[in-house]
Amino acid sequence: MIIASAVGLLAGLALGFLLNITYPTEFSFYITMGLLAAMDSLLGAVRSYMENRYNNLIFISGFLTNAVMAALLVYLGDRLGVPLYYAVIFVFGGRLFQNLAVIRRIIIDKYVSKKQERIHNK
Amino acid sequence: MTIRNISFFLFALLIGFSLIVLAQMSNGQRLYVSPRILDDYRVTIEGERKEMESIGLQIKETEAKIEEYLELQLSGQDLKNTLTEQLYADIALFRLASGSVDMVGAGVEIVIDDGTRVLEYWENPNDILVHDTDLLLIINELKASGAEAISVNGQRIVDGSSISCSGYTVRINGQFYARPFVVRAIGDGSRMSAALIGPGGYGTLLKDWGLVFRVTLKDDIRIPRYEEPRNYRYMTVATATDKREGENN
Repeated sequence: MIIASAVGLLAGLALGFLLNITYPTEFSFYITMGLLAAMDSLLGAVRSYMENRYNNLIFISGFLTNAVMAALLVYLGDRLGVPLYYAVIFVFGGRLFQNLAVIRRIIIDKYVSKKQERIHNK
Repeated sequence: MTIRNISFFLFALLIGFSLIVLAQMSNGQRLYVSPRILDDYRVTIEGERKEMESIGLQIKETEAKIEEYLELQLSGQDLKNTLTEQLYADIALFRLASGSVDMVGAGVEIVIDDGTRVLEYWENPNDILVHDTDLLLIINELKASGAEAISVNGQRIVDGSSISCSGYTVRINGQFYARPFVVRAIGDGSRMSAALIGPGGYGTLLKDWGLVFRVTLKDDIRIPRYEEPRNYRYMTVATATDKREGENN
């Protein structure tokens, strides 16, 4: 899983460098929102995997709905002249940190409990 | 290879890809552009495009003319007559543009006069007098709304015209004039009058001060030619080899 993500990240970076894609600046926010949604989904998936309740369907459908909602908000904000994309940034950003915290706790739990077991065994 | 690994791979791919795409475009600059600015740019670009189109048309016209001349040359006809005709047409156009001929057409006649209301004790008589700047602003407004020929008290306003204050009179093209001032302009009368007497127009402002300001739409305005001498003492026509300061600015 980690290997798949790492390889994917590297492949994505390489692809980005190689293809040298340009896009209208109007779309930069949509791409940013897509990026945020993908990061959030990936981190969420890692978390649920560590909590042993990972589900493919939830993972992919979650990303799709989040991305669509984010794009809608950005579009609406553009139309209304109100920076609605802040909502997307805050929600995704907040969830990123939250997921990271949970992952950290799980890792620490595992590590510390193993160590204590070892001490207990001695 | 499970679905899980594949989707993780794809997501990481998406993240890396969009990261690089965004980074390559942004160059560290702020990317958010408000719709209004975009719209402004759109208008500007549209205007530039139209200008380019019109220049393209001009080029085409000129090319057509050159071709015409070349054809005439090839056919061995005597070019003299055609060229002379062309030159006369050019002269007529330049005379028209430089204000050397009388003009007739539809337009507006504006009468501006000093106010006749009683002044309050704190007021300055200057408040209800017609000034050179009033005339200048009105002329500018007329030009902005498409006037093709303008005269003030029978003095044609051309490129070198000046209007300056000289006590209780106003100097126009070097001649002195006193009130009332009659400004005539040929052009789209409704547009010009709307620009002046509409809300926020300069005529409305003058009226509010208490001056006399009357605009009449007329179908038969005659604007005399510019009769002052044109003396050019300082400038000479630039040649291709002349390179002075301000070139390509």
